[in-house]
Amino acid sequence: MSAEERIKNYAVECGALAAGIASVEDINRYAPEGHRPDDILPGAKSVVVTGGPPTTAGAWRSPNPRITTLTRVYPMIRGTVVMKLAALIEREYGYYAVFYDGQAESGHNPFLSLKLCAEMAGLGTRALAGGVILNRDHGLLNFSCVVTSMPLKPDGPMEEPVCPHHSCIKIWEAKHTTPCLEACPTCLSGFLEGGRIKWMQFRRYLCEPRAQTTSTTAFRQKLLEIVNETDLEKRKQMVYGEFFSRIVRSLAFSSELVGGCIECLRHCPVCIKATTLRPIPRGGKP
Amino acid sequence: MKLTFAELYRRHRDTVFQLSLAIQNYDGKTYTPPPLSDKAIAEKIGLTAEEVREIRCLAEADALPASVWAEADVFKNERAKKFRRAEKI
Repeated sequence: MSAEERIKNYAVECGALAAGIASVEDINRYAPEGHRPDDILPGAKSVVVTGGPPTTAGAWRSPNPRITTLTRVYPMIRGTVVMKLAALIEREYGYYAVFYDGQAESGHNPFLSLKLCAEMAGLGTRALAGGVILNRDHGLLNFSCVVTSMPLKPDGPMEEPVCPHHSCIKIWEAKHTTPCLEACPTCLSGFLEGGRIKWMQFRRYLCEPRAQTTSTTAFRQKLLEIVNETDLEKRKQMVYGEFFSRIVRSLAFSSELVGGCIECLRHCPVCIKATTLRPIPRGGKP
Repeated sequence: MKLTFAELYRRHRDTVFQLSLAIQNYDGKTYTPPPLSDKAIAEKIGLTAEEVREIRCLAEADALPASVWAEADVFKNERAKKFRRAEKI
């Protein structure tokens, strides 16, 4: 078994659904200076990217959007998966390794774009839905990675895009929209031509209130509103009220910080296929 | 004369915001124009990367009114109710 196969298999053993390898050279063609793998680890040659489900197929279908946020699967373990992968690379192969699971560098900017790394590792392609990476088999994935000085054979980006799905192309031809664009015109705009994405605009700042409803920006904005409130009774109600209490609880327990909205992908045919289960027949009486 | 941060913020907030990752345009192959890092924005508009970072972080938090967070909750609950009816869960 090659080192590449061993490392990717180990990622899956640790809990990832998929793993791929990107070359630093490929990533550096797109990533700006200051946000490249070699800005994290001088001499970096490869990035091993792992992907897992944002939540269970059951939680994906929950009628309560908060359940989907509270039961995030891969985001809870992705740091551990890449921590173990980094240890494998350092101990068994003798190369430096740094793991990264998407923590912000400043504001909303990451140290390194996990989406770009995943794209360059062949784990999926950009979607009309905000440029998220869609995987043909697993739909939406969450990512984490290991940046390493180990030279590894890269998987490289996929040649054929996953998005748009052929059913979305038909919808576009009939109605000039797609399930994702229809779901969230606030955050998304786009255009298909010849069965491909011609252009897409993702307004990340408008996505944030939906994806991070009770996260740090919400806390700071509500805090400022509370501090500026001169009516003491009203201020008390704002502090003790349900919504601000939920924000504080979310920060205290890291429970509903990110990944709070799947509306643009709820009717995405790639995601529907990936999250639709069929009971496996079992012998004997039920 | 050196401007105060408040003056810098008022003057450059919109430009920094537009050039950052806040709004992302994709042409099917790549992001065009590419969203810029703080360092690249700084070089473009003649500030330091630290000044741009501070302006960007403040602008990100300052972009929307405080009411949007609770409204987002309403949006998601309404969408989820429609989904429940459609799926007959």
